[in-house]
Amino acid sequence: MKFIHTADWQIGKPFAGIHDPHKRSLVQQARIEVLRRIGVAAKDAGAEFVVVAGDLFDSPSADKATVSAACSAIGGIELPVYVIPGNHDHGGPGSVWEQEFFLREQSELAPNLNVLPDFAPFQCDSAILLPCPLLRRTAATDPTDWLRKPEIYEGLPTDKPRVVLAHGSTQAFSGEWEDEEEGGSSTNLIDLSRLPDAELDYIALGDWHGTKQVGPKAWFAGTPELDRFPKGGDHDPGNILLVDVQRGATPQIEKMATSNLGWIDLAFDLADDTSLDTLDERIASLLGQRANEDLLRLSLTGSLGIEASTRLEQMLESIEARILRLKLTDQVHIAPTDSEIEALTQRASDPLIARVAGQLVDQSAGEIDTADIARIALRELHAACTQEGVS
Amino acid sequence: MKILSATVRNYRIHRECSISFDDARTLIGGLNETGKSTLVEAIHRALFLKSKGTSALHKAMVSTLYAGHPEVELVFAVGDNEYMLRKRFSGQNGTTQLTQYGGDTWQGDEAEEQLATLLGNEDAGGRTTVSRINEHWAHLWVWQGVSGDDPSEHAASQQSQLFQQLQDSGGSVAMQSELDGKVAAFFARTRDEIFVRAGGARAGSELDNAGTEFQLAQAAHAGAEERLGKLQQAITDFEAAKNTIERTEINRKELREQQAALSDTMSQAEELKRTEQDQTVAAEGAAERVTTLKGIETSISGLGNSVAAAKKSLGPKQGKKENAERGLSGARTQASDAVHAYEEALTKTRTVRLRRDFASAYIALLEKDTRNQELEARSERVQAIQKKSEEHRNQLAQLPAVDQEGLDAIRDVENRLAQATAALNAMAAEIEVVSADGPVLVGGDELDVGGSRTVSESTDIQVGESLRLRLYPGGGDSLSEARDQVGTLQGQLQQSLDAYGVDSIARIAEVVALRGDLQTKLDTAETTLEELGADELREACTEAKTELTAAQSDVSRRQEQVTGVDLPSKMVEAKAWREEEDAALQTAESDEAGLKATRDSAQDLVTGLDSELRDLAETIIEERQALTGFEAQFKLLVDSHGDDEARRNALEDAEKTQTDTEAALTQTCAALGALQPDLLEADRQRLERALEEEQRQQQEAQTTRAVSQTILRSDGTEDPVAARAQTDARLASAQGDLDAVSRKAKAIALIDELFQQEQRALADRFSRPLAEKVSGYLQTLFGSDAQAVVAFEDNALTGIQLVRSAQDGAFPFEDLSGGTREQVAAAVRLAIAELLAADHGGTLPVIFDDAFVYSDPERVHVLQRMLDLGATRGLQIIVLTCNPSDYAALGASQVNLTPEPTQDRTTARSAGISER
Repeated sequence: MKFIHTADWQIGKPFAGIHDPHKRSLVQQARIEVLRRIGVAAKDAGAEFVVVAGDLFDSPSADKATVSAACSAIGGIELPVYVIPGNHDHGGPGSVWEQEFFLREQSELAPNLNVLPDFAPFQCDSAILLPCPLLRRTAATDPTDWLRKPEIYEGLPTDKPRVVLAHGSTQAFSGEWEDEEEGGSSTNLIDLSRLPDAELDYIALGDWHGTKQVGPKAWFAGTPELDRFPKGGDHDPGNILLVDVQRGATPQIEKMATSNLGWIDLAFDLADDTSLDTLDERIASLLGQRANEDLLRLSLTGSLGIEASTRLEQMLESIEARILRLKLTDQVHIAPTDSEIEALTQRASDPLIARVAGQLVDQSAGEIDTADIARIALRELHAACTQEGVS
Repeated sequence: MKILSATVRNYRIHRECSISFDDARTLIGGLNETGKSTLVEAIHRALFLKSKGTSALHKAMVSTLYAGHPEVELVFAVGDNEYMLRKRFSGQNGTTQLTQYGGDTWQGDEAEEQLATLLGNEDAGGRTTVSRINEHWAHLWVWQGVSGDDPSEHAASQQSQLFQQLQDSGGSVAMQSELDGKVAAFFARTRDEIFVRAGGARAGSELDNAGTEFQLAQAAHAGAEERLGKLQQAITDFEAAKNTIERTEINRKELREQQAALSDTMSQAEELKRTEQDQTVAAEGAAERVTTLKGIETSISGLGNSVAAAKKSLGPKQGKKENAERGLSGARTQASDAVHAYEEALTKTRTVRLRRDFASAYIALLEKDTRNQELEARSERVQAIQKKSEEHRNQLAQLPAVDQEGLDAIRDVENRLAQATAALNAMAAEIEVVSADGPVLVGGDELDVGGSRTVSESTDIQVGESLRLRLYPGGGDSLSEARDQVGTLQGQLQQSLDAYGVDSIARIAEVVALRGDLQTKLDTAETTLEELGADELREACTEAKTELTAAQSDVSRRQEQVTGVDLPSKMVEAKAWREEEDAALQTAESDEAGLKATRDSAQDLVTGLDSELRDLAETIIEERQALTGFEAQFKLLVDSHGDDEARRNALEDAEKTQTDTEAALTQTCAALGALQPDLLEADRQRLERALEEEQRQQQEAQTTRAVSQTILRSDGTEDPVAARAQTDARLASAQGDLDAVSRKAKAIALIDELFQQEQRALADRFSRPLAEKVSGYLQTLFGSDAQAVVAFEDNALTGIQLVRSAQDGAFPFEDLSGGTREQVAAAVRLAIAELLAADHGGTLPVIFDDAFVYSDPERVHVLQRMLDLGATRGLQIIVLTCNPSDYAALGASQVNLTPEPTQDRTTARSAGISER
């Protein structure tokens, strides 16, 4: 029996850091569109259903538009979809799962969507699902606690594989991702070692956004569409898992890539004005001819002359226009070149400008705030002296 | 450049006038309208107005008095070269000739150009109005009436030269370029667009917008936080309420169970209490019965004992009673005897006492009698003395009452009378009529011839009809006085004798002697009477008689009680008798006391025995009665409660009942105690309270749950989580923008600030040499503290300020008084001239034409120091004044102009003026 294991769709994620509403909408839309690809892949792979191990929505109070879009896309997956609430869209009072609007949209647009909000075995046609929903953002106890009781397995059919759906961090492993919108970590610990191995056939985990195996039968599917810049390490986001499982047999896992957007992380040190060209080339190679498909986190250090820094600004302006988001950490100092300093300070014909520039050069030494202001002032003065529009 | 001499011809009021100038100081004096100003105007025109021309200026030079074209000749030096300039202002035919001594000569336009070059004049004579032409060297040329103008305005035409000089003096300070100015203005403008003057962001500026957006973002963020916070609070509340409801439900169930159990226990305790009460009553009854029975037993036993004891006690008491009766009888006999003996003794004692008392009375009688007799004898003697004294007193009473003193007084009068009479006799005159023709009247009494008469007082003597004499014996009044004294004394003597009723003094002396004898006798008798106690004697006699009578009565009364007594007649015998009787009485009394003691003792014994016997009898009666009572009670009890065995059985039964009931009660008490009945009520109340509290909490939680559920029932219009994320991002972005804009704004402000600083510094460096020079001149006027502040802006000298002292601060030129303005302006002109002189061979003329009209004489006096300083520093000072004496201290070469004679206007003659 095959099914698709996925998680962390986080539909409705605001991506508030993207200021351009159109681009923000594109990034949000990508999280809906991936569902279509999941549906196709599942169908193609002969999966019988799809399990979403938490965080289908980004928020426990998703708005109507998000609910409708999600239900519509889920309805497009021509297979049953089983969902547990995760920490982002936890159940409980006031949650989206209890919203009247959601229930209406679910029945109208996504009749194939099944929410599993209870700690109780759920029998579907070909498997027994053991849901461990999160009813609050941070559960007081291990949500898989209930699976440790032998009595729950009594009377369960022995021919159907048993699939656990859980959301949280395993002890062997914790999140290494950084998300500006996460707003503080919320750790829901899952102790896999305390689960009765023989009673279970597969543990479908959510929360970690990279695809990762954390036990012989336990996998994090990861998010099918990237939603943040990777921090590093062996993360592997943007996949879904095709799980082939039988009762009492080791499950067979096939990873399938589904992500579309490029989340690029680049750190670059501008050693001198010529390194600006190198940076330009690096970015060009990363983006190619694509537009509105990538998000770039760019950390720049080093220093540039006045003209080079103006050029960098222009470069960044172009990049920002071309991609979905440029998250810039700009620690580049304006360090006027000797010739620039000379051009400003050695002006026999313009003694005032020369003297003012000289003082700014003096003040711009060092790292204190006033030095920063002085550097900006130098750039402004430089611009004023070279522009026509000062009159 | 300096002017050496000038000659003007046909120039307005001047026909021809020549004047030589000192290199350093020239003072040109002259009354009004002598052409002083015209002369310096002519020099100025020669230097700066082209000779060719028909302008109003040219026309103004033409003299209305003299024919011929105006001509000016100037000799001046520039550096080491001397030049002769000749200008003839003859309209379009005007001529100019410039000759360098020992060098070239230039004519016409060439000469004009050469002149302009020498003077550093850029537009050679192109200006053809008064105000325009006067701008040339306006800083050097103090025209009449402009001395108080701000010299910085006049420096305009020489700005570039002045700056060049200032630049040279200031160490080649660079000047602000055009681009400098533009860029500085650009940043000033940009800063002004960003900031208001007070420093805040200008409304609508990028900085202001960023700030506003940041505030909005903050508000939006706070709002989103609050909404999300409310939602999260609602979740928390809901869960807490849910938990509370569950917990209270469990608690209530438990409490109700406890309540039921408690109710059972309380019923049990009630039952036990009732049992306890019953058992207590039973136990108390049993105990009471035992006590009663035991009491009866004790009573019976006690009564038996009492009967036996009473009987035992009564037996010996009877015998004792009989013995006592016998003893009493014997005692009574003894007592009777003793009484009798005592009574006899009493009688005897009385008899003896009567005799003794009789003896005493008798002695008293004797004593009284003796005393009485004695007193009577004394009384007789007294009476005899008193009789004799009476006789003496009678004798005395018959004599005149005169004493020795009275006698002495009379004798004294007698003596004085004898003396007065003797004196009178000595004074009296004897008148004797020896012969007379007629009657002689002496004192009115006729005295015949031979008659005499003694006169002792003034006496008229008339002899005949015509002779009348008055005689004053003794010389006047003395005779009369003597006679008066004799009369008085005789009166006195007679009066005294009359008073005593005697006729002579001898008789008085006799009486006095007699009276003395009688008085002595009386005194003697009185003394004797006193010694005899005559006064008290009568009373003592009376008293003694009374006492005697009483003693006689006493004796006679006693005599009746006592018989057989021979009364002695003598006291000694009587006393012996009484002593005898005293001894007999003592013996009798002693016997009586002994018998009395015997009687008392016998009587006491009788009384004691009698009392004892009575007590014994009473005791016997009481004991008999008690015995009867005991026996009756005993019988009664035995009759009521049966015999010993019956009673013993009854007691045993009662005791068993008591033991049984008490055991049951103890058991019940223990059971009840185990239930802690005192705490049960508190438990009941506690559980009730707890239940109420749980109920209240549950209800509260239900309300909270309902409220939070309402909040949580989201309609999905907005996702508060997403909204918060949006506002987070907006806030961060706004913060970033604000930071960037702020930094840029600060950078703009910094640049502007630096430009302003540099401009100020530049201006300062430019102006400093000028300010120092001006200050140097000002200090000659206002003292060493005076300073000039010279302001430059945009490469232009824009203002002068005077600082008299550090305390006063700077005064702008226009705020100074008229006089001070003139002086400060002069200082500035001298300073500028000094600076510009460098371009003119090291010297320049400075012309002051009536330049200090507002200055007071004192200040004008001091001014000369300043002008002299200018001269010392190489300037050519030319002062024109109508009061040359004011400038006497300048030490200048003086020239005086006088009006040119109108009758001969071909020549001008005046001291110091020469024609060429």
